[in-house]
Amino acid sequence: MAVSRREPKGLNLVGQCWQWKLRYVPGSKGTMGLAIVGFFALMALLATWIVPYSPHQANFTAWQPPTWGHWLGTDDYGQDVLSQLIVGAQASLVVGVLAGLLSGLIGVTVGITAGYKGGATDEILMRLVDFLLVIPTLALMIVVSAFIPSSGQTTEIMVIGGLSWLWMARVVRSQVMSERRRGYVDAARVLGVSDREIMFREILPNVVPVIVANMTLIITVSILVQASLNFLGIGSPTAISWGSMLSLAFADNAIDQGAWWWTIPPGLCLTLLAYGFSLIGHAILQGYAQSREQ
Amino acid sequence: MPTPCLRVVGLSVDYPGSAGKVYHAVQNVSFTVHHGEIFGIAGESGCGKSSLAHAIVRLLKPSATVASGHVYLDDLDLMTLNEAMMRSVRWEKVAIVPQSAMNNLSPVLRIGAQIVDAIVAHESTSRNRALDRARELLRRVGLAPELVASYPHQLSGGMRQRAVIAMALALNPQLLVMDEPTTALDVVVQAGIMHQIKQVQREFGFSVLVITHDLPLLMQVADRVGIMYAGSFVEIVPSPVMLEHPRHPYSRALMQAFPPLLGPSRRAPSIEGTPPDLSIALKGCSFAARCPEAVAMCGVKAPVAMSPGQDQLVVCHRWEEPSRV
Amino acid sequence: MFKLELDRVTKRYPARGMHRGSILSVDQVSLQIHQNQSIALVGESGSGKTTIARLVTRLERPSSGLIRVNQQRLEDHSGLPRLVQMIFQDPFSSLNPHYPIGYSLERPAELLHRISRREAAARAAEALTLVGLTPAENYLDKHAHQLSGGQRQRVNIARALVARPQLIVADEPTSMLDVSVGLGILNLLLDLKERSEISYLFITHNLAAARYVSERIVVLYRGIVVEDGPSFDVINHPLHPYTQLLVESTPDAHKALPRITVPDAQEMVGASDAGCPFRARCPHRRAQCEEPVALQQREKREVRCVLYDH
Repeated sequence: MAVSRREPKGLNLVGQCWQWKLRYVPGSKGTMGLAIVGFFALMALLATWIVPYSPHQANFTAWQPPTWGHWLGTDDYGQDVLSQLIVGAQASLVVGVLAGLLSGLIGVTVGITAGYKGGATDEILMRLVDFLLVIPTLALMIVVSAFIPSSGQTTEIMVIGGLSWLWMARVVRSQVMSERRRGYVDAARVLGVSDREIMFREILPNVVPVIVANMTLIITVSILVQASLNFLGIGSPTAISWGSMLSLAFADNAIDQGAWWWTIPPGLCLTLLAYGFSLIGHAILQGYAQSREQ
Repeated sequence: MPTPCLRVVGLSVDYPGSAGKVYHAVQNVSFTVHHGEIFGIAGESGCGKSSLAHAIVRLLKPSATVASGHVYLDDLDLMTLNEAMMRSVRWEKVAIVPQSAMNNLSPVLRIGAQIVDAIVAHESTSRNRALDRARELLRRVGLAPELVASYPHQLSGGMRQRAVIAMALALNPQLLVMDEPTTALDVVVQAGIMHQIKQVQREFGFSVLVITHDLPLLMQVADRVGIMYAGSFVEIVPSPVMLEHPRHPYSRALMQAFPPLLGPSRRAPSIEGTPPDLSIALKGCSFAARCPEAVAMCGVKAPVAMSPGQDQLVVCHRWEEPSRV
Repeated sequence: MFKLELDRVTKRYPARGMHRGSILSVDQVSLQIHQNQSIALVGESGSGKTTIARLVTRLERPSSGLIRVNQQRLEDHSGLPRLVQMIFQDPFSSLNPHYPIGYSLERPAELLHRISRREAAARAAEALTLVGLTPAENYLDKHAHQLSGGQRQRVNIARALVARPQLIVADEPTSMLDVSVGLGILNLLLDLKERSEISYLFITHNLAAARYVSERIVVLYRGIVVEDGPSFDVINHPLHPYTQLLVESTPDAHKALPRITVPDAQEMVGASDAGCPFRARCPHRRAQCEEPVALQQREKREVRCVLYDH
């Protein structure tokens, strides 16, 4: 019986990946979401080799609409927009995903601990969450980023990730509280299973849907917050991101100039990437529901 | 012979299943309930007892369909009525107390107002008169008349269940259908309510169709009991006959599944196996696969309904043989 | 020899909502369970029987009083899961939906007996065979939702057996099952008791089921033991007025429907103080009922009622 639980052997890597995809991210939504995120991930990874020009090279004619030489035209400094867009994917993806993961990690840990332990632990953790929730997050991020001198990507990740976990913690907590009343948790306690194992091995797998749903949201929000921070001119000034591109375009009146090739592509990329993550989230939830029905 | 209060003829209820399957929850059921009679239906979950009750008052879930059959209330065929006519027949001629009805009272309205609403919806009478009637109804089921002014959350489960029964009796129906009326209640409360129902029924002479999985309770309450298995009755007999001389092996097994309170304590055999899949047409008797007394014929040929006495029914090839168990 | 003792155990829960103070769920309950003995706790909802089950399995801590298992305080007993196990009322929620049955059985075996995975798997299969789920291989890979209610309750019993306990606390194990399936579970419990030296604390609202499984019945009312004695005596010659009412009300096809006109228990809220908690519904009520009543010894039985006060 032990053998039957293992995956069938002899599949090549691609086949295994496809199996994995069918199981955890099924359906056309899943395929599309993975394709979108994968496309941008590839773009970010290979940026150095695929950019037509250096993104900082500023000696082209300014305000050029798309041409064969510059597929997405140039900005008012005479920089190639396409090259900036490709390099900008790095910042959005890295900061969005890592900040999302960080806040997911904090939120899930805090939520499960508060929901399972209850009592004073719950009281203290939730008062902390309430306290942080009433602070306008974006404003706090602006202040914090402004005070930390070398605002690099790490700082951005820490700031966004460290402040976006509040809703995750709340939602996970309430879900865990209802899960905790179920018989299997009592059974595990009677069997002498440790609290940590009950929280993370017994309860956690059963609250996956809310975690995934929130994770999707948090990654999306992180990408947008990162863009917003850059748009507001906070964060590393020299780094190129979709947010900083939009910020520059806005500051330099690209809209009045009719330079749509400078504003629309980064905006579209942001939307598309966020959409890709939502699709993946949907598909994971679908796969989860399927595995429960069988 | 007088017209029975309720006459069900060849009633079948289907539920759609996954992958185009059809579950035949109630299969060609016929029986009668006389005026002033308490008729009890017992059976385990999935035997179709609840579907049968809801089909009779035409309150099945939208997905379910009555595939065939007639339900006569006196001479009125309920299956031919349109929705509006059915609505007036419900409450006035037949009332149902659905399962866990006591939890479905409106939490924001006083008990009295809820009973009054039911009365004025069917009769042209003033709310004041109706409220007097509501007080009288509560008294009838053993509750203080002043409780018309209370909200459901102020009452215990047993009191709410009594209030629901009072409401069902509001328009003097000739038939009261009750689906598991005391299942969630403590035994003392249950006995009190059952005693009360029986008293009111004796006083006013309406008929009762009561459904429960609790066969010993049912035999205490009902004049006649029907045992359902896999969508149809396997036996219908007066309660004393069921106690002394159950003819169908499933009736015997179900009786034994309730350990007796008094008398010698013996190990009872449990019924092995599971009920058949109701989406598949069976060749033989539906109980054959689990029956300790089955013979070769039982698996091939469906038994015909026999009548060992007036208003009695048994569906078993070997009904005339004395039990071997 | 296994022995579990409750010594004047009390459990209060903080009141919620509009009420102040605390709700007394279990009040000064003392009882003993010996090896290979089956004791039934009988009472209506709110009588505190489930709270006692949760106290004995350390899911709750007593507010006062002492629970001892094999002369050792329950709180300090490190090996309790290997002595006391529990079967829950709801067979649907008491198995983790995420894991196959095999995991739910092997993991406790691994944890409790510090054995290898292979040995744990063997224990799991053995336990499934004991509860009649054979061949065990067919069940190990299944998830809870693929099993019927009766099968799930058998898996729950198997999980308790994997710990190889001396006492199984069974909290209304058949109340959510069909009668014929429930009878199978009761028969299984009886078989297990005959085969090994196991003890049961059987929690039920059904006197007939209590007698079927247990030699001794303890009747609880509002957290207080009102009567305790051999099952046959308690049912055939109930002493306490509440037990009498309970016996009379329990459905039995051989008896006529009783003429019960006593008020519902909940109509009497506010009647809980030092006196007998049953006095508001009691036909024998008298002045002494306002005072606390001690448990009276009567041969092999105990009863808490002024009628038997000498």
